[in-house]
Amino acid sequence: MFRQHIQNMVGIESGYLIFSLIVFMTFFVGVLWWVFKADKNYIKDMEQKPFEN
Amino acid sequence: MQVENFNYDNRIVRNFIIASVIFGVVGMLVGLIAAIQLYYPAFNFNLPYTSFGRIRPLHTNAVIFAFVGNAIFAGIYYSLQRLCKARLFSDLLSNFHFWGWQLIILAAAITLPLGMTTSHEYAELEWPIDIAIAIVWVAFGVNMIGTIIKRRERHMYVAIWFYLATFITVAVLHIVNSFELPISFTKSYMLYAGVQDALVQWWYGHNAVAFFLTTPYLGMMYYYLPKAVNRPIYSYKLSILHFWTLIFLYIWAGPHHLLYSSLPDWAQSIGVVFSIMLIAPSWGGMINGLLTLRGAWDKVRDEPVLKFFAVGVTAYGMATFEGPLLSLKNVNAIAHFTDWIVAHVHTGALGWNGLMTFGMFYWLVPKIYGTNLYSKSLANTHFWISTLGILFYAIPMYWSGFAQGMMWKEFLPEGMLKYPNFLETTLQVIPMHIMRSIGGTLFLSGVFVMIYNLMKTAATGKLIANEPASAPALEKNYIAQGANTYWHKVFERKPVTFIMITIVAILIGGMVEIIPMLTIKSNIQTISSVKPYTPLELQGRDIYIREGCVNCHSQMIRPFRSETERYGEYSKAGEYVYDHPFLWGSKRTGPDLMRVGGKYPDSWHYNHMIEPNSMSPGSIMPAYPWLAENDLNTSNTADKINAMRTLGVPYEVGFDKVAEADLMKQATKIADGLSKDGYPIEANKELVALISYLQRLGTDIKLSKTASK
Repeated sequence: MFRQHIQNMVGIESGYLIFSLIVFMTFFVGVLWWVFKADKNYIKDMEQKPFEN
Repeated sequence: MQVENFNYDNRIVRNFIIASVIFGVVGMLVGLIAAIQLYYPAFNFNLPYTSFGRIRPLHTNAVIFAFVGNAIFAGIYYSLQRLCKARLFSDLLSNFHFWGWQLIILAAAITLPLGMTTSHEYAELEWPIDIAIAIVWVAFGVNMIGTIIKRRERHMYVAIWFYLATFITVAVLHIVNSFELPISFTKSYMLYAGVQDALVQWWYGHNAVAFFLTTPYLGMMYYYLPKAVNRPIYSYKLSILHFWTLIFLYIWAGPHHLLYSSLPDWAQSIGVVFSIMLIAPSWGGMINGLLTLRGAWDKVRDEPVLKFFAVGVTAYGMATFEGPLLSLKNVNAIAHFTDWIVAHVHTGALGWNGLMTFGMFYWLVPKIYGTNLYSKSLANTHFWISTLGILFYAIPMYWSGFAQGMMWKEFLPEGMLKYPNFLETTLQVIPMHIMRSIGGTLFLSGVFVMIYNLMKTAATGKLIANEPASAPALEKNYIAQGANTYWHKVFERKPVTFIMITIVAILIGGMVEIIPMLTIKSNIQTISSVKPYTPLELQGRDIYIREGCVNCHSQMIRPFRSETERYGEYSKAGEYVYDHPFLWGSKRTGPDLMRVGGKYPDSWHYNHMIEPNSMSPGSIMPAYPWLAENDLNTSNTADKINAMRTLGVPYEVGFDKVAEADLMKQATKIADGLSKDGYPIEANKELVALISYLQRLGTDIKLSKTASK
């Protein structure tokens, strides 16, 4: 099954598959990086929002 | 900063709760009737308006857009005001939204039983109602964004991001999937045909589940779960990751509804890969919800609201694990078109949407009535009845679905199908269908317990229609400093920027899938022997759509030996190029009809439609005696031909003028043949048109083979 998907990636339309994978990975790694860099006070502040009223 | 006094609008929240509960009962009741019809067909009272094909879309629309829809608006309007520390933007818009939405539901409840349908699943409503939906939805969006803009809280909490993504994406999906050409006030043809129409529809269908049944509920989970357990969400960082990856990934996964179909392989592969990746954000959300309860499980024992939330979130986790599983091609080969999908959908609908809604209502009603819940023990009873109901529903349907999938594929050692008669596989699972309706009855009876409890609660308190609150106004010229310069905090301050980024995130996936399908010709190979429908067949096809045949019969033979052996040559993309809309279907309660043309004589169809049992003893198909009595409306034939030509179907110029004569010629031939066989029928009856369509199905390829010999 996996072989079939990999084989599909080699065809004419491979561009779409590779493109979509690269776009997503870039996006994901970007979000992950920023989330890890998040300031602790900011997180503490945000998670309290529902309790402010 | 000066403290401002204002009021929260609780009346609109109360109104949406009442509407949700009332339509919830109606929607579930219609579902129960439909479920009973599957083993006791006479439960449609032999009326066209209550036949399965017409009330199944009524059930899905009522539950999705009326029950869940109204619950979403109640949940969002309550939490949004508090998270923004502002009253809703406009009372006028709130009321317009409320009454507009209820009128749309009423229009659906009238038009669907009348057979006015586009046949696109979960988008069955005809074009005038589509326009009304767009207008009311925009009113909702303006009201929400207006509230956000006049907020007294600098930063938007995670729940609001999900609400915004819901508004934007549903608007985009609804508009793109409603491109249709009107023939009359109650009838239209889809702009796209065949494979393209299928891709657009399932891009919509999948994401309607994602952005109507999932994202608003995740937003509500992020607000109501911490409120109910009185502690913050487990990880706010995880919620950022959860939000962005979920909305980005979901859009790509639509093609998993079309595996092994005539959709090009590359599109199917994208669907599979992204569906599997979707486990990560979905489970991120589930874990975030469940771990919020860590160290507070003792509260779950005492608090029915938390019980509903805990099982609701667990059901979400199960359904979102199962979804990717079902999108694996080898699993899908067995599960697709069977009751397995019905089980999967109801784990989500009853477990996730149902239980989360009930939990939220048990929490909200005492709050807005300034009192306590009338009876915790009744709420606990409701919890156990509905949980049992879900089990009684889902387990038999899983069993039934797996059994169907295996029976359809089973061969004898001699190489022949073990169950060559499709009907046998349907009859085998009837005990499971009976059990399922018991599960549904349990779930529905739980709702009545809730209604009693909530009414009693309301009676002990008084609606706080305008709840006083106060908060300092926001500084006009705010300059972020220190921690507030963090990137996501910037988005959370700027709703318009946030909306733009969200639009980009959701559009990428849709564009990569849909644009190549619409623009690259090689994706759909044309077949020279495939010709447009004759006027009579076209009218017959519209009757097929009106009666909702697509709800039980697919028109998509997958390339498996078990299917080609049973139904004939597998389906090719080029065979559907004139199908506005496509009618592939998603469930086989009856056999596939892709190549039913020429399989039986006209007289077989005549008898089968009037009394299915006469041709297939034991059949659970409803009878359609009215088709032999109703005159075919041919006044719109020329309009239909012209509309099809506009959409690209190559009818010759001037054909619309002779279309009616052509129609009558073909109808007379069929009627004469039937009369000769001893079944007298006038040529102008609807049944004649339907028979002509059924006899045409899938024959273009057969013809080309005969010709080449």
